[in-house]
Amino acid sequence: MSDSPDLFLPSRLTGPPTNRAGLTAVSRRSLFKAIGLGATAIAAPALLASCGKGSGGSVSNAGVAKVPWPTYQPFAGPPPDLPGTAAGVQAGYTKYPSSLVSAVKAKPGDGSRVRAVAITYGTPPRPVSQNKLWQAVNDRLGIDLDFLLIPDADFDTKMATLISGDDLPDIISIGGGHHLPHEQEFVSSECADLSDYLSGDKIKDYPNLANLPQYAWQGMGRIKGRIYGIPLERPLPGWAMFIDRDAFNSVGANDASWTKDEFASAVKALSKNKQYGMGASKSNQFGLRQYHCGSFGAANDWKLYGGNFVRADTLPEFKEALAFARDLFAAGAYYPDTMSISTVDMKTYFYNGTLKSATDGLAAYAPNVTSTKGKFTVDLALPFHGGSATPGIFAGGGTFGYTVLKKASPERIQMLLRVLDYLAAPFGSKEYEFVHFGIEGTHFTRAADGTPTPTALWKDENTSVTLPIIYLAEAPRVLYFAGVDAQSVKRLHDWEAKAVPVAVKNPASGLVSDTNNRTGTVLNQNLNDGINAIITGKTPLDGWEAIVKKWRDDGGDRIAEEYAKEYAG
Amino acid sequence: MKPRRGVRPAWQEPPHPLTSTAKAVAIVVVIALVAVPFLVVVSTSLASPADVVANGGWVIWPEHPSFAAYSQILAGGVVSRATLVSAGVTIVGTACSLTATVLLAYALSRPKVFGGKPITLLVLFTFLFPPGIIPAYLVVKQTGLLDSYAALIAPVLVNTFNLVVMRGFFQSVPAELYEAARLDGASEWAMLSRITIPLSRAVLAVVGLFYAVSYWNSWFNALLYIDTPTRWPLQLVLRTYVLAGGQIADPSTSEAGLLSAPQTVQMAVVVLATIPIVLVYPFLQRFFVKGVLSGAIKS
Repeated sequence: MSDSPDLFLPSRLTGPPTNRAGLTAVSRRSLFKAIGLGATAIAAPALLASCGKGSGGSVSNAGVAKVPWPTYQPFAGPPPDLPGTAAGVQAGYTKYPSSLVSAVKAKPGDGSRVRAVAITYGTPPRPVSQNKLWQAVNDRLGIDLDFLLIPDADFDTKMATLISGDDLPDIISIGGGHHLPHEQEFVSSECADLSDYLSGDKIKDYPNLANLPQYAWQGMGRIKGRIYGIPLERPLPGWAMFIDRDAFNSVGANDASWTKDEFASAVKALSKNKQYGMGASKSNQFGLRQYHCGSFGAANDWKLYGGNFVRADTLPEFKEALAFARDLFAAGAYYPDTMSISTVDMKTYFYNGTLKSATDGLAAYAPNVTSTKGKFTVDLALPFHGGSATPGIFAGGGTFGYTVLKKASPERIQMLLRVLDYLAAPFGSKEYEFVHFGIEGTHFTRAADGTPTPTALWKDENTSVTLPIIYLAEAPRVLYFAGVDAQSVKRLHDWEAKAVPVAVKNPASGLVSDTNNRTGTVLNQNLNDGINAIITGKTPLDGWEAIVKKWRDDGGDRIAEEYAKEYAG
Repeated sequence: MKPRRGVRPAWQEPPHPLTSTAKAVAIVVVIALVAVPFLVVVSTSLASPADVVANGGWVIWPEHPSFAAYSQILAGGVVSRATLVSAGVTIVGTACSLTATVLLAYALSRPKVFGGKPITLLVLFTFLFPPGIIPAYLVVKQTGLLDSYAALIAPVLVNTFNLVVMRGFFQSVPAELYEAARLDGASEWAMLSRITIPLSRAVLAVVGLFYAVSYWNSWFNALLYIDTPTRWPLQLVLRTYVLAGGQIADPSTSEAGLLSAPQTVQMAVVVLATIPIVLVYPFLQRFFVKGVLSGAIKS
C-alpha cells in the first residue's frame, strides 16, 4: 500500500507548519506526533482489510457429511502423440491436431450482462468497442462480459474492498497463490453452493468440467463438506529444476541415477569464473523445497503418520536437505544474490549462461526453450539419491486457484456454469482453439500443417494476458507449445513420465485449518527466514531445532491437530 | 594563527594541480552517481531482449538499439487513452480542488465566522485520522461514485495540508485592508476576489502545483474505485507494464515466464512516466521552493 489516499504527506515536503500557517494552538511537537498518528491511521487499512466478512463458525470439513467429488469423464478428442496418465503425466502433442471436434452443443449464455473478476499479469485490454476478441467472446459465449481485472500485486487489497462492498461480481476467480483473509468463510457465506450441480454424476451436464482431473478438485478442496468452486487445473509437478544439459554433460553428470555426491560435484565443477551451478530466486529459497527436499525423500510440507500430521520441516530428511544446501552455498555453488534476485533476473542469468540451472515453475519450460534456442539444451533434472529414502519430486496443489459464483437463481447458476464449461473446452476442440488462439484470420493464421500462428494483433488482444478469460475456467493443460520443437516436447514428457510416479503429495492439500488460515503466512515466514539464515551461514545448523520449536509453539502444533481432525472427519 | 610572511592565504593562491584534479574527480564521481542510473534506464529501454540477456539485465550502451519496447507500450491505444484520462483528471481535479480549497480557506481565515473553530477542528481531525481503505470505499460506493471519474477527485478534493497552508497565508493579509474594503461597501465575495486572491498568487501557484502533481501521480484510488480498465489513469496502466510477468511466488502458479526480458519495457515505462515531469519541472521549480518556504518561516 504505497500510495495513501492523502494527496501529500506534508512531513516529506516541509517542516511542520508553524504559526504563520495559522496553527496557533498546535505546537510543533504535537503536530509531529499527529503526523505519526496519521501514518498509523494510513497503515490501519491493512488491518481493517483483514476483517473480511465471515459467517463465523468453522469452515472445517471435519464431522460433516461430504458430497462426492465430481465424476471424472475424460474427453474423447484427438489422440495425443505422447499419452498422458490419470496420475498426472500430461498428454503431449508434437503437432496440432488436423481435425477438431466440437465440445459445446449450444451457445451457453442467455445474452445477459455477466460481471466477472480475475487476476491479471498483463496490461489492460482495449475497450470492448475496439476489441475484436472481446466482441467475439461476448458473441460466442452469449453474454455481455463486464470484466474486472486486478493486477497481481493489488489482488489482496482490491478483493478485500470488493468483498466488503456487498456488490459481488457474478464470477469470482481466486488464485495466483493469493489467499484472502477468511477466504473459506467468505466463500461459504456469500457464494453459491455448487454441490447440487457438480457433485458425483451431476457434473455430466457440463462435460468439459467433467474432464478436469480429480486431483484438481481435491487440490481445491471442499468447504463444510460441500463443493463451492471450479478448479483451475495445473500440472501436478509445480516446480522443476531446469538445467543447461550441455553444461552438465560437459562435467560428466548424468541425472538418470545420480547420487547427492555426484550432484554436488557437478554443480561445484560448474561454479567457476563467475558462473554458478545452482540458480534460484527469492521466490523459491535456494530450491530447497523445490528440489533438494524431494531428493532426500523428505515429505511434501506435511507427513501423515497414522492419522497424525507432522510438519516435514521437523523431520530429519528436511534437515539433511538443509545441511546439503548450506554446504553448496558455502562452496560457492549458488549465485551469491540468490536470496534477493527476482524470477525475471534469474531467468536472464540462466539464459546468458551465468547460471547453469534454474529452479522455476514448470510452465517456464516453453519460454526457456524458445529463449535459449541455439545456445544450449534446456532440460529438467531428475532428483538425486540423497540418502536411504527414495528420491521424489513434490507435487503442487494441482490448481492455480478456483472460480466461485455469486448466489443466484438456479437458472442463472446453470447458465454461468455453461459459460465456464465452454471456457474449459479441452485441447483438440474448436472451442479450445477460440479460447486459446482467438479468431482465425484475425488473431491467428493457419500454417500449412494446421498449426495456429498468432498474428500481431494477438499481442494486444489475447486471452491470457490482456483479456485473461482463462482464469475464469480453463481446460486441463496439455503439452503443446507453439514454436517449440517436437524433441523438446518429448523431453518434457519423458521427465514427467519419470517424475510423476515419484511425486509426493502434500497430505494437507485441500484440508482446512482455521489456525493456518489465520496465522499460517506469518508462521511460514518465520520458518523461511530461519532457512535463509542457516543456508547462508548466519545461523549454525544446530539453530534449526530452536526455529522449529518456535514454529510449533506459535501455532504449528495447533495446525497439525486441526489437519488431523479434518482428515479423520 | 598568523600566516607565514610571503605566503598568501589559501583562498588567494592558484589551486594546486592535485587539488584541482581531486575536485574534478569528485565532481565526476558525483555526476556519475546521478547520471549513470539515468543512462542505464534509457539504454535498457532501447536495448533488444538479446542485449538484455547478454548483459545480465542492465545495459549501459545498447548494441542494437530499437524502439520495440516503446512501440509495445504505445501501440494498441491503451496508454494514449490512459494519458487522456490522466490529463483530464489532473486539469479538472486541480481546478475543483483549488476552488474548494480557496473558498474553505478564506472562510476559515476570517475572524468570527460562525462555526469557524469547530469546522477547523473537524478538518484537522481528518488530517490526523484519515479514513481506512474499506470505510472510504463504502462511502464512495454508497454515494454512487464507483467506477466514475468523480471517484478520483471527490474523495481527495480538499487536502488538509494544502488548506492549512492556504489559510495561514490568507490570515497574513493585513486586517486593515479588509476594514478599508468593508468601509467601501465590499461584500465577502468582493474581498476574496479583489483582495485576498490577487495578494496570494504565490500560494495559489504552489498549492495548485501540489494538487496537479498528486492527481497526475495517483493510482491507488483508481485501483480501488475504477472497475473498468478503459477508465484507468496513466499511472495505473504503466504500473501494470512494470509488474507484468513479475513476481509469482507460488508453485501452484505456474504462470512464470509469460514475458521474457521485460526489463526493456519496464525501463521504457520509467522513461515515459518521467518525461512530463522532466519537461515541466525546470520551469516550475522556483514555485516549489517558494511553496516549501511558505509556512516555514515567520515573516
